[in-house]
Amino acid sequence: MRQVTFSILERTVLIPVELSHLPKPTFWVLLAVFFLSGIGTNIFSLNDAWYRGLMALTAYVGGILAGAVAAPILLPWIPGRAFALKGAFTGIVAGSAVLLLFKGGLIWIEAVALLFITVGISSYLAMNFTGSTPYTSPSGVEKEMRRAIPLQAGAVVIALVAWVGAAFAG
Amino acid sequence: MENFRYLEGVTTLQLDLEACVGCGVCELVCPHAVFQMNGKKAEIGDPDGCMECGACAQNCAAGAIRVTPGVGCASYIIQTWIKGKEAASCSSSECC
Ligand code: SF4
Ligand code: SF4
Repeated sequence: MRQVTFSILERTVLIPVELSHLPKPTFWVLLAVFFLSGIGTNIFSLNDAWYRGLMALTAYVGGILAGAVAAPILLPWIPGRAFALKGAFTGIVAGSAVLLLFKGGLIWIEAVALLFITVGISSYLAMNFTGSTPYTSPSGVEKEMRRAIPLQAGAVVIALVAWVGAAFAG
Repeated sequence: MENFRYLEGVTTLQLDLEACVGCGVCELVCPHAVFQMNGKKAEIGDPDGCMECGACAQNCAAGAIRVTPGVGCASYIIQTWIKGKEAASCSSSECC
């Protein structure tokens, strides 16, 4: 009998497919990120929208790299079976890198917000990779989605509230 | 594929031993070696290896295998939650 394989090369060529879904949502993310980043004690600051927006955008891009690029490539070596969990792991690593990048410029609430953005996005995107593998069963994917989506959504909501709230706290 | 294992205890795969005529086709077509022949009957040796592709059920002339095949893709499954199984499609503009 002929069995399927899923080598690192076979996984890598699928990355552009994953990335090709992103331009449209990214447009809305950009708008939302710069708008939310500008809100603060001066009602709206263009300066904050730009500088804080860039930081939030970096966290978003970190989530994409961790979930849609690193997770597929490193798939068999990342702990966990559920892809959402694998994506959360790569997201924590990428999120920590984002925090290191901006260390000094962040208060702790902002750091939590950026980390949650990266982990939430990464987990969601890694979960989407289930559709590209030759071994994930639809029943399994549905099961992991029922557990993971509320957590991913929760992480992003907490992140947004913390990010906007930090502008008033800082 | 031994190094790729997904969630356990989720597959919809079922084998009706009464109906099985022991032709061995399921063992041949399964890409994950889920079936083994046990004498004159098939046996689900590795249920957790099943990816619910449906190849076995489609090729079993005796109709002894039942599985709900589908697309294991998150965007597709979200569509089935929102629009229902019938209206969801794998190749729509919202999917790939
Ligand atoms: S293909 Fe069907 S009839 Fe043939 S061995 Fe498998 S279960 Fe039995
Ligand atoms: S559905 Fe596919 S993976 Fe599962 S047992 Fe049948 S042929 Fe094998």
